[in-house]
Amino acid sequence: MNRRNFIQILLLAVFIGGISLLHYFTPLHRPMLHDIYQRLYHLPIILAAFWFGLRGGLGCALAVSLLYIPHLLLQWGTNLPMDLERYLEILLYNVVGGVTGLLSEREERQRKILEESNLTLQSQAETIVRIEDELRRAERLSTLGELSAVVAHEIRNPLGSIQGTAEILQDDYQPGDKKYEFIQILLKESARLNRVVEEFLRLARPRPTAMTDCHLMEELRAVAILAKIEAKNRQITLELPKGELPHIKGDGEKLRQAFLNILLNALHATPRGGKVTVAAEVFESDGADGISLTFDDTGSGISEAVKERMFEPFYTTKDGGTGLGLSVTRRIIEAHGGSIAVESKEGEGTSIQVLLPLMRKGMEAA
Amino acid sequence: MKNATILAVDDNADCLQVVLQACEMFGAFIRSASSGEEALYLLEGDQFSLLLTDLEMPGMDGLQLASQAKAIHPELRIVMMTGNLPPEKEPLLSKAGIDGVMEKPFTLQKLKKILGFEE
Repeated sequence: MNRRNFIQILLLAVFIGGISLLHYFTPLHRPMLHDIYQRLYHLPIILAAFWFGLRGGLGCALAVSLLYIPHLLLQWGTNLPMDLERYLEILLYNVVGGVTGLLSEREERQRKILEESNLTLQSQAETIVRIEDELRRAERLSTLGELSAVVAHEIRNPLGSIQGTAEILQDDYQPGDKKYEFIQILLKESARLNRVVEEFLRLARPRPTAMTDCHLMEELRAVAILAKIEAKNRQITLELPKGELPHIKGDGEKLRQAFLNILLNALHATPRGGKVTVAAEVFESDGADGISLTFDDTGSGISEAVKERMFEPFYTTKDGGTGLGLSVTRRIIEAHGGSIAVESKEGEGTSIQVLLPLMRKGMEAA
Repeated sequence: MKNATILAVDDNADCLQVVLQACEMFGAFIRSASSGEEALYLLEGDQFSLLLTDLEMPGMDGLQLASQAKAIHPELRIVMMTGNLPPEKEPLLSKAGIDGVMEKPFTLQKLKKILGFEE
């Protein structure tokens, strides 16, 4: 019994007990008062019916009847014309208790049905919004797929000529020569352009994911070696999970790319002296065991507006960013049957959580 | 390999020019064609040790050229240069008898290595 029910029952008991005491202790030569008490009994019965339905209404009416009958029999004696009205009142208590209880139960049932249909409607509306979002994403990606062929051909071919020409010219100059430096600029910038194109292609037409037995902790360590250099340059402490993690079915190379993207973002968002922590946890719930990886930083945090768009292709807040890193990352995680979520407080830091499903027993055997 | 003749094929004149110039720097003998058809004509007349061809070309593309070239000279090494290699085309490469792929943009170092001129 919860606290609310207890108070309700206590209130009913006090109410009925009080009226009964008034009946027993009020002298019989004040019949008007007794008439009032007699009617007052209806209040707890109706309340009980409202609160506890049919059972409450009838139970309360029965309790009232049991308390009231001795008063009639012992104190009033047998004065039939007067008593008949009082006995009928007892019948009325039970009728009122039953009918009010039935009605309130019916109302409660309807309220529940309404509530349920409201919930169904709400979840249907959410599904529609989600599907719309997915459709929009799919549409963007299919446009990306078509674009990718054009980008690959029309940009990489001339890039090849530019880079080759620069390399041929470079041969005629010595390092330190002004023109040699200019040629270096050409080479550096065409390499940068090529990186953008490559990231774009990776997003637009991902290589099919090759799922094999994947040692998650090894992949994390491999990524950490690269990330530690960046962390050291920025004087940021990088903390990794200790111990081992179970294997999963996955594409190690792609996961490394995803983890590196998340880690570099965290490092870039964190000021000097800050800290980036990676934590791992195996969670078990029936039928959906998995590994949760959390990447926490003590950076500047992300605003709600950025949070909504940060996984969109080409959305970036970084100078010189391609806006493809996180959208590729999400694709990789989702291709592994996982999910990625962001929590952030402006000024306090950001936490990226990656959930990856664990290899099931059956899958391990396969 | 040093005295072997290379045939470079690309519809893009600039790309072809760069490859020609680079090969001359390496000291390779090289001839060029601007289409698959022209390349086949040259292959029928002369002996080449390596065919360096673009993938996407108007008319006969790199894949068609490769399989026809292999039919004429089964021992010919073929390297594909391409800026656009969709994943679905990858399995077709070995089927057409292609020995190597260079994705554009490539460094001259890589070209040198694939041509076998690296010291």
